[in-house]
Amino acid sequence: MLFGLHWLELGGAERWALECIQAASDAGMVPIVLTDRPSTSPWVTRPEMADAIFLPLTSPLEDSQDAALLNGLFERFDIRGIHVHHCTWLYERLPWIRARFPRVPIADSLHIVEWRTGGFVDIAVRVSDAIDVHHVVSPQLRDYLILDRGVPREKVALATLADLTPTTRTPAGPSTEGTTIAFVGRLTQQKRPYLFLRLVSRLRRDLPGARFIVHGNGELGDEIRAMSRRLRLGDVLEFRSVNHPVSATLDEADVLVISSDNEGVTLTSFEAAAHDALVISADVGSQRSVVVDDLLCPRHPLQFLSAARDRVVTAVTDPAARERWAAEQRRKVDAFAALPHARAWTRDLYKEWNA
Amino acid sequence: MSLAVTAVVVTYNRADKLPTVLDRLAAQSRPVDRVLVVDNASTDDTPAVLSRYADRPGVEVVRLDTNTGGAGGFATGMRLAYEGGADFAWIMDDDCYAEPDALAELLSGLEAAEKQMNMRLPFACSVVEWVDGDVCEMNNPGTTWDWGRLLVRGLPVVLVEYCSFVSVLVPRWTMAQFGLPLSEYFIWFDDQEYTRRVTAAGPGVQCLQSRVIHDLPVNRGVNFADVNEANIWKFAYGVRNEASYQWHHVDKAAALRFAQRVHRGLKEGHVSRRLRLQLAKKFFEGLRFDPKPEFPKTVL
Repeated sequence: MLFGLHWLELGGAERWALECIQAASDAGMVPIVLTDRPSTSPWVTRPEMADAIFLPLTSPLEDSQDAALLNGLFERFDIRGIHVHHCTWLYERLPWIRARFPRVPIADSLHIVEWRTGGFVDIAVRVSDAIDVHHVVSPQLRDYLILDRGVPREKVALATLADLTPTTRTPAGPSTEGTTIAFVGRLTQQKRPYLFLRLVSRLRRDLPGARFIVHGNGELGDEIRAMSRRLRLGDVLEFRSVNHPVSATLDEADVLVISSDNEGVTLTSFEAAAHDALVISADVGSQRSVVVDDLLCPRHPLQFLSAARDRVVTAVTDPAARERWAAEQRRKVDAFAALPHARAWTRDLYKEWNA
Repeated sequence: MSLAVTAVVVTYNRADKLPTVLDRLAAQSRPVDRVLVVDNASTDDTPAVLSRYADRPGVEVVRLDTNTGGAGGFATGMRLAYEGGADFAWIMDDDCYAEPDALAELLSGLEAAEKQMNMRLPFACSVVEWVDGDVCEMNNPGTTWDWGRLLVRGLPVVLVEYCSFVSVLVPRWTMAQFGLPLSEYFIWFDDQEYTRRVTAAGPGVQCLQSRVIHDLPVNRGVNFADVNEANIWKFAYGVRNEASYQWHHVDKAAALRFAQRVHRGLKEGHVSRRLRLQLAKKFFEGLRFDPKPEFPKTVL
């Protein structure tokens, strides 16, 4: 099985790709993993990669090298299928592969509508003729492909990653340390951690005694710490790195705030719901699938801050509203979890490919 | 590939007829995947009747706090069907009894028509009979100029421009592209406005082998000669809504022709000056009334 990945580093798409690589091994196939982004590939040591052949490509390749590489792979191996996970290089070569090896089935997995740039979804739609099935992880992506981009319905398979998240429910019980409001995620532009900090600077006045946690690492780490100092949040805001277990943070959290500019559907929302933390989120991507309607906030930064502040204060100070929202959150998460699961879908697909 | 169909039944104080509607839905040869009953805050035994259906798999009841009219009920039901991931909403009144093949014929008729026309078609409706087997006067769809195009090719479907909300199959894409019925209409002309709106994408179809019975007390169409003290409230909505539609979405002359039609009907029926004046006011209200559709959002 040929896999195309962005890189072997932390990311939701990569987490799912590793699951697929393992599933290919389990189905008795040799995973061949191509990546097209410069990276130290820290996840190459993961157990899922134990039986895999890893080919980190260094771009740009010359045209003749493209053909040599792909012809070589198809000559050397009996390739039973191709699964693209966010790999531009492989996407762009799919029409060539389809023309050269028309019997080889091809699937891709899509996670997020990149509404600013088009991103992988746009590439996937452009080469859709060369793809047999688009696996999507959210209802929003399904509708986007079918309704907005005109991809035939039978080529789009919705199978969520809900089962990739630990579902053990650990009721937090009454908090002994006051209210805790958390941000969990990479410190990147997409997640807009700076909005969370602005929210904290407002909420510390509304909710004296509350404490706040930023859990995650990323390229904005230094900027966010500097901003925290500038806003004098040091006494109420705690930074936690990825070495700290997310489940511990969610155990402590009463409210999880997702301030992202864009998302697919955040796995952290499931995890938070499993820990009985209320999720307040920007209304982006497919977050509407798992977040209570009342707790969705506009994407625009100022409107987000205003709405999120209002919702957090209500969630903390109004037990009746909190209880109502918690019940609605459980209902939504359960309904989403009842959709087809990606693990089972992939297992069946690979079994069919290897038959 | 299985397509999910959610039947949407909007009800208000029809406890006597509702069980037949739901039983007929349960007896479809092509099963309905989900039945959504929107109870418009009924004040009769409807809640008790619906509680008997609560245990049936796939049946869900949504009780609204206030009566939002047929328009509001259909908008709510279609929105919930869309949010639940339905591929089609099959919408109907609470006195509509579907024959066993009604849904199967709608689905197969629409699919066959789309193949013949080589395009997506925005809705499919049934033939609506009255209880005596005659055509139901109130529920005749308006046909297109080329209504027999598919008939001559051997398909039992005709092309239509609009229909009433008595057994209409609305695909998901139609709701995504054109939104929901206008809740603000409350009652009357919401169905015509909606189906006319969505035919911007192409004609709808009436599937001649999909049949339902509309259990109305009398079999009579809308006629302004019938206006009286008891029914003026309904005609008032009708005049306001159609005036709004013709003025804002067709053209000014169409609105004036509509006024002329209303005037002629009222005159023929010797309707009192006071009631005529009330309807005239509603006509002018319609010229200032131009609600905009809501669009459903993806949840599941």
